[in-house]
This record gives sequence, structure tokens and C-alpha cells, in this order.
Amino acid sequence: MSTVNDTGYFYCEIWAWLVGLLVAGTVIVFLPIPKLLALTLVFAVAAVKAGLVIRHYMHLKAEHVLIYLIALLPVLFIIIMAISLLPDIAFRH
Amino acid sequence: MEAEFTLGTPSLTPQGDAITRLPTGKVGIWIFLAGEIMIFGGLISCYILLRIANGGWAADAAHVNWQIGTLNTLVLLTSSLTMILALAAVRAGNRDGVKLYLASTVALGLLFLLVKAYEYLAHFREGFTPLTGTFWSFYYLMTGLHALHVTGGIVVNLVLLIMAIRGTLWARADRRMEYAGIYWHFVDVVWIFLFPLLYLSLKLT
Amino acid sequence: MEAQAASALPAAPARHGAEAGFWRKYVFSTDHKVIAKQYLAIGLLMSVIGGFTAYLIRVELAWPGKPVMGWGSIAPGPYLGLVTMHGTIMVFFVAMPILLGAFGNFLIPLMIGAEDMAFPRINMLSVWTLVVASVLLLASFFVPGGAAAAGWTGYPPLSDVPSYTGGFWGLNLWLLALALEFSAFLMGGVNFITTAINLRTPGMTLWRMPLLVWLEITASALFLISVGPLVAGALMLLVDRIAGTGFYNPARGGDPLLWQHLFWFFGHPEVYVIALPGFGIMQEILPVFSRKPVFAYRTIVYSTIIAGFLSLVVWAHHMFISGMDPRLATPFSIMTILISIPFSIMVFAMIATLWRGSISFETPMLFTLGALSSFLVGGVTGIFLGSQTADIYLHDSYFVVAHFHYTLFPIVFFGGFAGIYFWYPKMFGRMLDERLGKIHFVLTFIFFNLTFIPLFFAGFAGAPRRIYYPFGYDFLKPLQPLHVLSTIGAVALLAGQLPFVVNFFLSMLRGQEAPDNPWHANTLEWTVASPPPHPNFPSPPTVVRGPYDYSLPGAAEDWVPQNRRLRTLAGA
Repeated sequence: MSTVNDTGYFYCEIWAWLVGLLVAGTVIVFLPIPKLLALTLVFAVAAVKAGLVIRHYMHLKAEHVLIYLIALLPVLFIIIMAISLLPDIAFRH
Repeated sequence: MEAEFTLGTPSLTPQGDAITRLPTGKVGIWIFLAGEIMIFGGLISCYILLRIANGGWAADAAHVNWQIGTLNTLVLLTSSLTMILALAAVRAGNRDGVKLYLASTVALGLLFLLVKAYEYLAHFREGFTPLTGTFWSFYYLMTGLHALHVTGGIVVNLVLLIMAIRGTLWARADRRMEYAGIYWHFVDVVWIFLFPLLYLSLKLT
Repeated sequence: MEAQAASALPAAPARHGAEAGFWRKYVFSTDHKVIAKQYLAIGLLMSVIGGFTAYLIRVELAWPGKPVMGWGSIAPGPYLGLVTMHGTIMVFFVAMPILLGAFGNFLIPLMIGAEDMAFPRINMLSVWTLVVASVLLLASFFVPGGAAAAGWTGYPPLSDVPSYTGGFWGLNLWLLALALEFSAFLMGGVNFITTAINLRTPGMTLWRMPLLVWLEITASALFLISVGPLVAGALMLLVDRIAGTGFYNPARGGDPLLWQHLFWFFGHPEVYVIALPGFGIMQEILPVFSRKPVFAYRTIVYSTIIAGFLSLVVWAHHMFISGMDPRLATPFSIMTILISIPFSIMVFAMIATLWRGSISFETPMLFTLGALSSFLVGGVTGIFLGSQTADIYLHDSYFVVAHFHYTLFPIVFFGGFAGIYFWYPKMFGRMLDERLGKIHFVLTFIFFNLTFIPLFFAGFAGAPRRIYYPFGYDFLKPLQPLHVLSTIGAVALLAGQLPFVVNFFLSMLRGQEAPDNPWHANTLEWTVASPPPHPNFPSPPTVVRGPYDYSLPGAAEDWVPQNRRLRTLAGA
């Protein structure tokens, strides 16, 4: 079994990053930057937050390759599906 | 992370460490989450696709309360912290800590639901029901499905808390806390994506 | 071993030592072998109902507008309900319970040397969820408005607006039943995959697993990945119907084509979820009755995985003329043609397994050969449908109906029967009667072909599917003889199942007692008694060889079980 011996302090540190990113993401929305850039940044921030939770709270960093596969294959297929549907559903008109 | 992908020749004990060095329950819970990723991923994809198709739904999205959304995100992130601290407490042998952190996670989860309920009621009073428009249909369906998963997680954590208080948790506390935690963090990750999708895009589109 | 060969079901108390009552032993059991039989019972029962709907459909098509013998007149609405329920029942409540639920549950733990599935209580929950799902689905026949009538594919707007089909509760119950069925097999999938990864007995490396296990877990993984978006979509459809939202309503910003994409993103992998276990059964039977190892074992595994991946990116070949973006057609067409490659490899490998084998024609082998040959026809006709240009003409015609019956029926019924005839001794401790089995095969094979070959021709002639009254169109009237021929085949096919029903039940009561290994096969389930005792294995077996060491040079017999070491000439 993966023995992760992160301390409580480490988890709190991650939490601080998460909160910081939360604030940053909310602030980005109000900046006078182009819409597309803001959207990209906001979702990049979300991805980083998710990555932090997955890596450090769900301990994926210490897991066997198989667990990575199990976790990431669905994401891959969702992306494939969503992209395939863009021309037909999103950009129909 | 182990680099080689050999699943080896395992021993027989279920629940025990097979030579794959993966506890059976862990494999199980991740496979379950893979299915959940497809469900939420599918729903979120539909939302994104139709939102683009309909020009962004800016007018509808403007009425979502981003301050409450931010607060709720903070609540859920903190509940993830308390959940992982509960696991750390198990590994440190700190039984009181386990109870404290589990109880905090349950409380924060309930707070999340309460805030959500308040939000829904406020929206209803303003006239934004699931039938007001397809944006709202998605809003209620996505947050509703998520809230159902939060509720399930609260129930699981409550059961663990009761077991901790009664003293029946400790025999297999590490695994149980770990798996319950993996599920709870997953619910948090879903919300991490729902938040910008539903609450933050409002100023942009 | 106790006198278990005489009992129809093995005694399987949930806890060792504690004598479990009837309910715990046979109804709410966590034993994978009991659960497997429960799945088999559900599948076989539902196949009777599915077969009856087929009878009604076929008689209506042969003599449109005339009352059906044994039933009465069928109106257009109920006809669509029949067609819908036939497909739904056969795919979700016959094929999956039998091929995945029954054979997967019974065989995976035994074949890998495990005592039970990884999560026995979740396993029990899964079969009971399926029971509830089945009850809901059958109930939908009796609600006001009748059963769901939007095709097993349930396209909106027909399915989206209750008034279009004239029924409300029918389709809602259909959606709920499907949601529960999905949950049942999701739970099963978690169990199957975890078990195969983690509960293998010492020596059972991945490359020594029987092909059936590989194919079952690939199918389970495929199901797990593909069903999610449809669950989301079905939720949206249900809410549309019940609450009046507009997810699929263009006037409200929705898109009916979205459903088709979500449905087929699942629907296409789903047919491989069904096909792969069927292939697995065939791969287990072929070497036993050819006394030869499986040809190209690893290639078959790789082909399976590749086919699995590919199956997730071909879905829009069901939608070539749906009005979707035409630019999507070519990539999907290419992927569809490509997916025929791994399947061809598997079919050629099966033929190569037979090549120069010492072939005997017991009933399991007959059904396997029947499945192989018929599936070939189905597979080849699929290539035409995969080309987007040919599909313009053939879509929604009887050619499609014939194509998928030539793939599904051989896999589900020939393959399923092959599996039942092969493993019945192991499951029930009795041998099935060989003569009745051969009669069953001949009748099934001949009349299956008689039922569906005419439909290829009808499809080429332009006959559309799901039409209640073909005579409404002049150009379809000359096709009636084809339909009559098909219906004669169908009725005879249904009647031809009687030998099987008789055999199944009579053998359970009075069949010859089965030895441990009637077929002299190598896999681990044949090393224990028939039916297996509780616990499955007296002690965990140690596996020393692959599953297909038949006619091994130097061995005393032409079969060597996976846990048997051989004395070599040089000594142990």
C-alpha cells in the first residue's frame, strides 16, 4: 500500500494554495482582459486546483500506474467525445 | 510512483495486499470513480456544448450569485482538508483527532447543502426555476446531481464518525478512511469545475 | 465431496460453518455461483418475453393488419411499443444478464482460482437491482398509454414529448428501468475488473488467464466508460418528460441530435460489451473440442483491447443521415472500417485454432461453429453499413435489421447456448442430453437463417424498419413473400427452442450426474467438483501453465490442467 506520510502541516499548506487559487480565479473575472483569455485562465486555475486535490489529497502521486490509468482514461474519452461534438452541437449555426 | 507496469503473480487474500501491491478496495473505488467521471463529464460536456451553441446564456447566467458560489467552494475545499486530516490522524494514532476532523467534515458538508438550499430558495423567489430557461435547467440538474453525491458522502462520513465514537472503526480505519476520503475529494473536484462553469463565466460571456 | 451433484443449486452459506437458511442461501446470497444462476434465470425468463414480442412483430409484418393468432389485432402505437420493448429486453435484459452477469459471475472467480468476487455484497446488490429494473420494465406494459414506443434508441422529439407517443408512464418507467440496469452492471463491472486484477491465485499471471476472463473484463471496462454520458443524457430526457425542461427541444435552446450522440457513444461500445463475452465463450470451447491450443493468444488479447478503444470512436456511423455535420462522416467511417481489422484477426485466429485440430461435434462445439459462421455474415454486412455513402441508402432499412441480428443473435443465442451446454454440468452437476442438444442446434441454426436472410433482400429493396403497415406503400407490397418466409422461420425458430427448455429442466432433475471434468478441459473450474463445493477450492491452487495446453508433446494425456506440473523425461 502506498504509504504517504505527509504531515498535517503539509495538507494545510495545500489548502492555503487552494484558497489562494480560489481568490485568484474569482479576481481574474474582473480584470480588463479579453474574454477568451480570462476564460482560459479561469479554467486553468480550476485544473490546477483539481490537480492539487487529486495529487495530494487523493494521493495519486504515490499510486501505481494502473490507478493513474483508471483515473485518466475516462478523462481522455470525455475530451474526445466533447471535441467530436463541437462541430455538430456547439457550432451548428 | 512505480514505473513498471507489472501486476505480478498475486496471493489469494481478498482485501489483503495482493502482490499487485494494490489493496482490493482501492482498485474498486477508483474504478467506481472512473464511471462517475464519465457521468459528470458527460453532463458537463452537454452543458458546455449547448451553452456555446446558444451564444453563452449571458442574460441568464448574470443572475447566479457568485459570492455564494465562492463561499460554498471555500466550504468544500476546507471539508477536503478536514477529511485528509482525519486520515492523517488515523495514521498518527490520534483517535480524538479522527473524531474531530470527521465531525468537521460532516458539518462542513451539511453547511454546503444548507447554503445550496438557501440559494435555490432565493432563486425560486426571484422566479428562476428549472423551467425558466435551459441554462437554469442545467444549473439545477448539475448542482442537484452534485448535491446528491455530497449527501451520499455525508452519510458515509457520518457512519464512519459513529463507528469512531462506538469504537468499531479502528480495526480497518486506515482503509475505510482512505476510501471514504477518495470519494469525498472526488466530489470536491467535481465542484471545483462546476464553480467556474456556472458561477464565474457570468462576467465573461 | 458431499452429495451435491444431485442438487440443482449448490449449498452456499454466506458464512462458513453457519448453516444459512433458505433465504440467505438461495435468494439473498453473496455467493458468486448463486448470483450467476440468478442472472441466468432473469436472462432466460426475459428471453421468453422478448421472443414473444418477436413473434407478434413477425406475424404482423407477414400479414399486416390481420389479427395475430393467440393475441389479436395490433395497432400502430402498440406495434412501436413491441419493437421498442423487443430491442430493449433482448439487449439489456437478456444479452447482458446471460453473457456478462451469468457467465462472468460464475466463471471469473473459478477461472482465476479465487473464492468469490472482490465485493460479494455489492454483487448481490447488483443482481437485485436488475430484478427491480426488470419488474419496472415489465410493469411498463401495463400502465395507461402502454410501454415505451420510441424505439430502443429512444430518440427525441418522439421520446421527449409524452403526447407524441401517447403514453407518459411507459417511457418514464423504461428510463428508470434502464438507469437501474446500468447501475447493476456498473456494480458488476467494478467487481469483475477488481477481481481479475487482484484475486488471481499464485501463478495466475495475466498472460495465463483464460481468454474469457480477458474478454469479460474488457467488456466491463467498455461498459463503464461508455455508459456515463448516456446516464447524463437519460437524466436530461427524464427531466424533459417529467418537469418540462428543454434539453432536447430546439425551441428552448436544446438539441435533439445531442441525444443521438450520447446514445450512440454508449450504444456502439454496448454491442461490443455483448460481443466480447460471446467471443470469450467461443474461445474457451474451440480449443477443448479441437484438442488444440488457442491460436495467437496474445494477439487476441491485444486485438481485444484495440477493438475496445476503437469502439469508443466509431459511434457516429449510426448517425450518417441524421443531419449531423457531414464533415464528421468521413473520420467516423474510416474508424469503423478500421475496427473490422481486430475483429477479423480474432475470427481468423479462431479458424486457425480449428485448423488441423482433432475436432468433435458435441453440442457446445456445434453452437460455437454456428456462432462463428453466422457472425461472419453479420460482420461482413457491417462493413457496407460503415461506409457513409452506402449507408445513405441502407440506413434504417431491413438490411440493418438483418445485419445486427446476424451479429447479435449468433453471439447471444448461439454463443449463450454454447456456454450453457458447456458449463451446465459444472453449474448444475448434471449432463444435458446430447441428442436433444443436437436437435436444438439444427432447428435453431436452420430457422435462424431462414428468419433473417430474407430481410437482407427486403432491405436492399428499400424496406424501411419499424413500419407497422408496409402495404401502405406500393413498392413494398411485392416484398410480402419475403416477410412471410421470414415469419415462418421465426415461428419455427421459437418452436425449435422447446427441446432446449425440456432438456434444461429434465436434466436438472434426471440428467446423468456430471463428473468433475466431462470435457477434459484445462481451466481451473474443471479441477473442482460439479457443482463446485463451498469453498470453491480446498486450498488455493498454484498455476504453472497457461490455459490451453492441449495435445502438449510429452504429456500423458491430450489435456493438462493449469495447476498440474508435468514429469519431464529428465525428472520432476
